Amino acid sequence: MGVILEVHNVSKTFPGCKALDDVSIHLNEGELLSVVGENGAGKSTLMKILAGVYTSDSGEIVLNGETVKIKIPRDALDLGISLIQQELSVAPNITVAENLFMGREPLKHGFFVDRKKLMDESDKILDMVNAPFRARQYPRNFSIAEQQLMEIAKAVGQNSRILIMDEPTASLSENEMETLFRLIKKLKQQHISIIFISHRLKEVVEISDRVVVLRDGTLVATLDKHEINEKDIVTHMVGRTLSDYYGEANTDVSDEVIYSVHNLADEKFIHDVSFDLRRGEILALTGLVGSGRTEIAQMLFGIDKRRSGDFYKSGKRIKIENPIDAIKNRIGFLSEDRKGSGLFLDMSAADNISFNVMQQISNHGFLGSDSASKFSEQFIKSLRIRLSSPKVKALSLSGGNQQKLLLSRWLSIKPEVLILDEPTRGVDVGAKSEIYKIIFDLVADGKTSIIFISSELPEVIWLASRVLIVRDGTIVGEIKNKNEITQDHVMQYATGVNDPDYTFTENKTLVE
Amino acid sequence: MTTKDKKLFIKFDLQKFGVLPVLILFCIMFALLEPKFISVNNITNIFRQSAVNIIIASGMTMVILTGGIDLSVGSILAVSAVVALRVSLTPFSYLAIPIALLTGLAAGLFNGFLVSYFKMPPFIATLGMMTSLRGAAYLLADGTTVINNDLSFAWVGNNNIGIVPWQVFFAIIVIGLSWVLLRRTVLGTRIYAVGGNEKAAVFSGISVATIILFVHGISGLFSGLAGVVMGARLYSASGLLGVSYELDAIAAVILGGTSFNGGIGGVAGTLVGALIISVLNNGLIIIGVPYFWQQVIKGIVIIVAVIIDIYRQRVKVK
Repeated sequence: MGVILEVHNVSKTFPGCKALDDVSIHLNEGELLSVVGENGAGKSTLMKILAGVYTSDSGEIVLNGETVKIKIPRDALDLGISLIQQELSVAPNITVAENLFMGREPLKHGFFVDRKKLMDESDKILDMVNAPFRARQYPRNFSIAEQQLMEIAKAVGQNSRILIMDEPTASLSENEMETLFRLIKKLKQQHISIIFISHRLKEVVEISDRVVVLRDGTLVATLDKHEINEKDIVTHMVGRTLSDYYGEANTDVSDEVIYSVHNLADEKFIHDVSFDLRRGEILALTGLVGSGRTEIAQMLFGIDKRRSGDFYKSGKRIKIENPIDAIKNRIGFLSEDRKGSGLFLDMSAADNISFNVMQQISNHGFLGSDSASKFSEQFIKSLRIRLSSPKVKALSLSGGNQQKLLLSRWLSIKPEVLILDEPTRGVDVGAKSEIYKIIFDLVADGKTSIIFISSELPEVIWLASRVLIVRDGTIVGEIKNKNEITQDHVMQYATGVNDPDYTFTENKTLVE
Repeated sequence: MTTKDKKLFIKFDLQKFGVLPVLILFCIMFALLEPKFISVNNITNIFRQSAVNIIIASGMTMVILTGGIDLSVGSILAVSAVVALRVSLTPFSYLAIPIALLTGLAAGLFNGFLVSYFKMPPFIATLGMMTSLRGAAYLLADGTTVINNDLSFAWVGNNNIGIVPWQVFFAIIVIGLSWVLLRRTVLGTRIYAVGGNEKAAVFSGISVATIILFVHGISGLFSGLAGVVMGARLYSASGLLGVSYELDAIAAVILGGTSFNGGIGGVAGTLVGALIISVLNNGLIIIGVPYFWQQVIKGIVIIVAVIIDIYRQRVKVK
């Protein structure tokens, strides 16, 4: 197995920050190389340089022994380097085949599209990647996993020798992940090399042939197959040890029910969802992707329309028809889609933090030039948000710091119930640990109770004082005792090995 | 302050000035070609000519900041002007300005209603309103020109305070108020928020419909004010007033660096954008460029200015 790609001494500076500093890596043929590091470590920048999205300030790229210039994404594709991004770009209104051959359709008479050849070639490629769909289908209702498969098929169809996968498993279920890993193995046997980026260290350990660790734009470690383990990777990533990775769990929860949901249902999928949330509790709502947990959470906050369902806070019935009602009742909701439905990327960090309480910090609707910045200071300090000034745009911050902006926004309403949907998605190990600590601190004094959703089981096990498992749009199981919360136990409910046995006893003292 | 900080500081400020250098460049160029250009008289003239566009473009800025567009401003201007003139001919002539402003506001709110309640694309909703209101203006004027030589509010379009014409004064007030609204109020922040990320605004408990209704209402109100200014200046109004003014207003907003997708920009830029258009109009005439060439040059300037802006944004991101 020879070296296929070499990157020599690449540097890249953005205004105000050195993203990559003299980084050199190489990639062998048929190898899976994982690139890991905290957010802002320079992984994405490096990958984007290889894919022609950015150009490096200095350094060189050598492919098959020849120095190459990659200035635009087209150059990378022509050289056989494909980037499969986190945000997938599948056009739902044209067939799978047309997607695969977009921009290089086989032609008849130099002008007309050769439909037959297009379909046949596409089916051949789809077979190569074990796709469960065919060329003539429209990718309209494709899952993330299927869309991703299309992107991989596209790359294979273009005879790419190097596949760069940026967080390919971020929104996949366990099953889909295993399918992906099987495919990766198959691609490797065909001498295709893969650069793999992931925040989930467990899978990095499982599938990598080699791991390189980046920190603050420099290469800090290269681990060969036999040296790869989670603990060492984390140590290299953060420059400290695993023992201070997590915060401290709070175990005593009062019996007082603060928030209660009865018979929640929507028009098609969610049905018979009832549960209580106790004061100071961290209640996990978990289940596989597509089980309905996010839909339930969004209904609790008045975003998704519901067909039935009553809400009670401290025993009194409350109306939640939209987020405005929810916020009035001091219920907060941290969305799983940080950029899509959370941040105002072009607004300042301070405006992002103070957005929900702007009316309160204003003087009859008027704001001073520093009102938002002054208000944000306490959160920037207590949540340790790293920024040069509260006035920088949210856009310029790393994933972990962006997530903290959103957390601050919800903390600012002094929530009694805080719903956290995937609070640590796409944030690095360091920020993750800090977010856990924030969550523990919040419930410690009993003023805030938390409902949180996560697809990372270790996180559920670490944080939750109680777990509700969702499958097929309803709650199928409950694990009440902290020491009974294990991955196996949760998965047995989530996958249907255990039959549903969740029962809900209504609190008798409710006021209509 | 270290040298590095200083550098960043200067860079940041240049960013903030946007197309101001372009305006200054044009002024110097015209002044060199024709010294008459910088006479007090001519400069007052430029401001007077730009007043109506500045007023309309301020409202347009807010609409575009939410990611919308208002094509009906020219027609609202015409309707309001005709209404103002009509009322001025009745015994209640003192109500001419308030009624004209209310007419503009009502038309704008109706735009907002179409957009927020029926979820119509703003382009289509205001296109329809542009056509209907144009017809309405002709109907209200009985197809002719409504004239009042003894107009009670003629001062708005013809008198000065000091050397500042009243209409320029109004334009300054409108720009000033809009700036305060956008940069120093909760409402302003929400306008940026809706344009920047509507979904996130919903998740934060913002009533997007209210914001949309508001910006369209303001745009209508300002168009009504522009109608009053036009009517006062001409002592008359007809269905012909303000045709294609929406294009000048949009050009001013975009020249001023406000993003067509919403969420980025502001009225300070719009002011500069509107002045660039007026300086070009005025300067090209003064140096004797033929009319058709004036059109060609104006169009090119808009395109080039925006290309430069896009390029600069891209450099900033990359």
